[in-house]
Amino acid sequence: MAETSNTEGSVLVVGGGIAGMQAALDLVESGFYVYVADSAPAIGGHMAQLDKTFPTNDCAMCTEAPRLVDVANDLNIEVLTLTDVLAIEGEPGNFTVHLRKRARYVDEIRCTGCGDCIAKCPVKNLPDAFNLGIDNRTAIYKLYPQGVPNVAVIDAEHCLKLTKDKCGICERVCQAKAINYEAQDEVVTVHVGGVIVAGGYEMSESGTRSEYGHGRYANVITGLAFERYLSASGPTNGHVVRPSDQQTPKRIAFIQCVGSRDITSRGNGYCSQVCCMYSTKHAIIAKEHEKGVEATIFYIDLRAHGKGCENYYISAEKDYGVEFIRSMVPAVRENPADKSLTLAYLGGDGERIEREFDLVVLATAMEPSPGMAELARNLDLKLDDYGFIRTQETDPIATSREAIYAVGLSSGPKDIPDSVMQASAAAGRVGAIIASARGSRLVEKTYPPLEVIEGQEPRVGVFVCHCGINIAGVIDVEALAEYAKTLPGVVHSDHIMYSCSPDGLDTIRSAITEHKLNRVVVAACTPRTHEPLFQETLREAGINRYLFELANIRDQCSWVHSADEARATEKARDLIRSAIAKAALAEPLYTVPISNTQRCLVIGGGAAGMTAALTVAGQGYGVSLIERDAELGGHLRSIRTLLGGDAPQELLADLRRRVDEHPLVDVHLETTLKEISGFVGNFKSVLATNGSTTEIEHGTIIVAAGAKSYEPTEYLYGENARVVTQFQLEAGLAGGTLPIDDGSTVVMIQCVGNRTDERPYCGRVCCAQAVKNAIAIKEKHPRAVVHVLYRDLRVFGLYEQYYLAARKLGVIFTRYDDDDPPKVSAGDKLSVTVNDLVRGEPMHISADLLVLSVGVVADEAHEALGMQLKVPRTSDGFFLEAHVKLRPVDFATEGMFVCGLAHFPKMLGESIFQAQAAAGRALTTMSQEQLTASAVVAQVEPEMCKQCLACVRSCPYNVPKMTHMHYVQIEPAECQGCGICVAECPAKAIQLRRFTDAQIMAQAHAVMNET
Amino acid sequence: MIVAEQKPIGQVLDMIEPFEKILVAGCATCVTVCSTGGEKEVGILASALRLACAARGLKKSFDEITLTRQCDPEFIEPIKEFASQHDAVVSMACGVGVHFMAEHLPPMPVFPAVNTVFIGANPELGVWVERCAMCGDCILDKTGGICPIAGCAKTMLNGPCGGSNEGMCEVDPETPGAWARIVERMKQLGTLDKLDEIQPPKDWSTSRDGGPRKMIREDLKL
Repeated sequence: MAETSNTEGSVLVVGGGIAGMQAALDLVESGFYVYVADSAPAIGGHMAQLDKTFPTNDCAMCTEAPRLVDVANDLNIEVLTLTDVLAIEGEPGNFTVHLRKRARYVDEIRCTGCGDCIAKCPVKNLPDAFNLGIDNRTAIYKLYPQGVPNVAVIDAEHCLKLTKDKCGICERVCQAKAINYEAQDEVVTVHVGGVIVAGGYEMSESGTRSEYGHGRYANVITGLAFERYLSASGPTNGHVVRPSDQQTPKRIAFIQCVGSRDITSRGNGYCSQVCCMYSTKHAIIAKEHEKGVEATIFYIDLRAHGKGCENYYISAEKDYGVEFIRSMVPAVRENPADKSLTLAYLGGDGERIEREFDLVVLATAMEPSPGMAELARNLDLKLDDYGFIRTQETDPIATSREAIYAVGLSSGPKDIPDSVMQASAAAGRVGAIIASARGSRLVEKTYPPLEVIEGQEPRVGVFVCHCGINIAGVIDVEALAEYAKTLPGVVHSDHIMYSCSPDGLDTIRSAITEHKLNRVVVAACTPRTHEPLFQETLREAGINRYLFELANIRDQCSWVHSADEARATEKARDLIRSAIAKAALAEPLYTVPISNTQRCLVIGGGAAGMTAALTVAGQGYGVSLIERDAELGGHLRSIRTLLGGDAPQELLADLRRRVDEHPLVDVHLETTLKEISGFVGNFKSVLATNGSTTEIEHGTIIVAAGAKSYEPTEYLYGENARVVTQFQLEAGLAGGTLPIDDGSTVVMIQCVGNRTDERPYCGRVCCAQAVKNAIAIKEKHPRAVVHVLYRDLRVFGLYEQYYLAARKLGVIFTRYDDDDPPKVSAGDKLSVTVNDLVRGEPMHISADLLVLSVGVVADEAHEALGMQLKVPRTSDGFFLEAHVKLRPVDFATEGMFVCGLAHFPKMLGESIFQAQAAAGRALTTMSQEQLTASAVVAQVEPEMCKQCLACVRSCPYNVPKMTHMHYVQIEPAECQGCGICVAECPAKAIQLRRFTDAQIMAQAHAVMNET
Repeated sequence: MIVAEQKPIGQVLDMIEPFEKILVAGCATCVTVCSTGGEKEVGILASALRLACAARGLKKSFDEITLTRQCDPEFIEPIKEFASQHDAVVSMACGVGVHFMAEHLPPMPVFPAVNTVFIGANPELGVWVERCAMCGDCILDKTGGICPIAGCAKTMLNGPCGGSNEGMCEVDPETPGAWARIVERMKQLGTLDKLDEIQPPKDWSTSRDGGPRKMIREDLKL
């Protein structure tokens, strides 16, 4: 922790994609001010371009949009778009960073995002890069409709006014007076304690392997373009069409590893890690969209190493009928007549096969973003051979410069959850440097005292928004405002050009005071983006935020009924009447402060647990670390070497020393959790140590309880001393205790105990471990023969380069069929027989040592732990996070987090950043002196409760509890306000505040014009 | 607890066909807990009936009420006057409730909206299982706590029968045979030898075969 008084309580996040946003939100919640600088005109990054996400098929925009809104609405996050880093000076804790903010030519404060300028811009034929050029955009445009900030930008290279001093239409149509053709680039200087680089990536477009004809053949597109075709908000509204004739393709081929695992054409010796799964997703969704579509995936190794991915792959093949062909397609040929495409490839028996497809989708490589080299130069960071920021396995988000962290794709290919984890990890790490300045830069607002409205008759004010011409172009807003005056309870009604613009909000504020309004209805756009803004306005005017209702007459009316103005206006009347009826019954609601014990319980003392404990303690909060074994270290104790050369045992020694020495970390060895009660901020636990018990109070829990190695029963393990596991080999190599010399033959068999019916998931780490140990043998004994027998070699991401290294050293990789595993018998030596699929005949190997690559399997003891904590586990026995993509270390229950092998098999580096992430997330809660319980919670009417348990059983957060009072109690501090219990309760004993039955019924009756 | 399930709405519509003013009456005990006839279900059924009648152009009105229990006259008493303003009552209580409403309300038709299916347990949300057949002479002490009357399709007292296949019942291969479970449990309890004793035919007079049952506790009776 920097102790200097000039420590800055602020952080610069470079890049506003999903990782950058996660880092920003975690930091703000932990009490730090954040600048988010993004070179694009809107934040959101690549995730905004995606349709759905594997392996759950969740809509990408639906999960990302709430993050966008949170970033946009936070007073303590300043979003700097069109901005690049120029230079940095200073030291950790106190940097000065100079940024260049390019001219937008649109005033961000004045622009309301109405889109009138875009509708009138005469330059309409510019390829829309966000949609990969599938359709066109105008010279003044928005990057994408949901983008933040919701502000237009002028493309200076193509704007007629800026290039030829003609036109000027946008300035004339903009009623908000936001256009400024005179705008200039400016240099912005910020003072921050640390920097997080979340610089994203580029999907290689140009320079894609030319033999596939991308750019020449109309119907060869990239995977990212395919995402845009699939997306409902994309250029074809979710219809997949062939670019050549706009017809629906029936036969689609997906080619993997285009530019990845390819040192010849792109110099990319790495695997892009996500393509096998996103192509599988593409195939599944294409089949869901259109009946009769045939989808074929051509691949080298099918890499389904992520959580839930192997099952996704199996389901694609078995349930959806996606065809997987293991063959690297050499070239694509276009048939000039109908623009269909012929692929020639080698089949399983080595025969040449030709097949015709309507559309070919290339899984192109993820490469460093174009600005990365300059950014690294300006921040003085070291890059790796491929141009990603260089990091280390044992310190996976640290860069070559202190207090600057690299997250997400900045440091190499990874999927969304890993990127999000790294972002939270960076928030946890950087917070330690600037903890002494926590809160110092936060902007806090002061509000006037609240008006007491309890007991008053409703005095409703109605404001109908024109939204430029978005609403007023279809609906008669003036008539609507007049109509609202006739409705019960309404004492004031007006119409406003842009209700969300600063002057629009002023109008609302003064009307509240002037007309003594105690309820406000705004008829405008969607609560998803605008409700917090209007609620804030109410609070600024001295009335409770919950006395507000939004009638969505734009997205749900003028936009969808633009062809029928009269009926649209009629529907708008219904919507307003309905909102007023609900508002009239609104009651002021109050959030409740609850106490917060700023201490964390970490369960498990392996690499993940120790890292999590040190990250929490690093920010100045106490930790109780419990470990059931007699010593710390967990799985890390059995890791002797690492790909890349880092020394794991030195890491272990260092972690142990730091944990032992840290005054804020209490270590309890041979200790388990005996009992736990309470909720976020207020847990009470009983720890059991060798028969004695200790009680502790804590506010958060991090589960880092690890996993086990699979104990094989296959291949004579335990019967023959020449059969060992990779871990035993690793120990033997380190200790020189195994009889391996230059004359030895070593055989490794992959997937022992994993990817089976019993454990249908990939062990994730075993392929890299085999490669690592094979290299170690060959380096020590170059003449030793090492065979690796595998199904799919899954050395993903940057680990791929070691697969290549192993092959260069002469390690022999032989694939065996999923249904035809090698056979082993013992004699003088071990005899291993494998059906060599390339030669089409059995290969007999006489082996001195057989090494079984065993996976990581869940620990049965965690079933009880899961029950104690009331947190779910997957069918494979690993703990299940709240959301696979965007909440990868949170449990659904507030205040509980997960990391390390307890979550899923992972590499050491992955465990470390996930542990830092769990700590980073826990710190967002722990750094609050008090927590705030939401006002919108479920409330039980005790006399009506029949104790039927429907709520207890249906609540996804385990909040309702039976009390000795013979009714269910719902703790407001824990309730998430989802409303499920309200719907389930057969006695109607539960009401959700702000959405009471009376309010919903009033709304329903009003919309149908009943009273 | 008594478990009931709702009748198809068509049956209810047929019952109320001649009547105009209908009272839908729920019960806040067993049928509430089994999500069949509590306040929420009363609201849903009444709304569904209103919609169905509106769609058929029928002029009917529906009021809603939920009694604490329809099987005690004291809870029926206060709604007598309100009920008599209607032409018919649709009861969402178990058969006992329907019966009691008919007995205690002024003479008016009372129709059942649910079928009373069994007395059982609710192991998880949305699942109910039968555990007792109310035979009136409990023998669970002899069968390891698993009832062959409720659990066996043939109510056999000396089982299993020849239709038991790998522990599953021949009537429904998804259902574990009660006797296989009894044997397993008694093995576990170390009381398997008790099964050597042949059970004589059961006296069914305590069950339904003895006609309608009545229980009187003189010590409680006033």
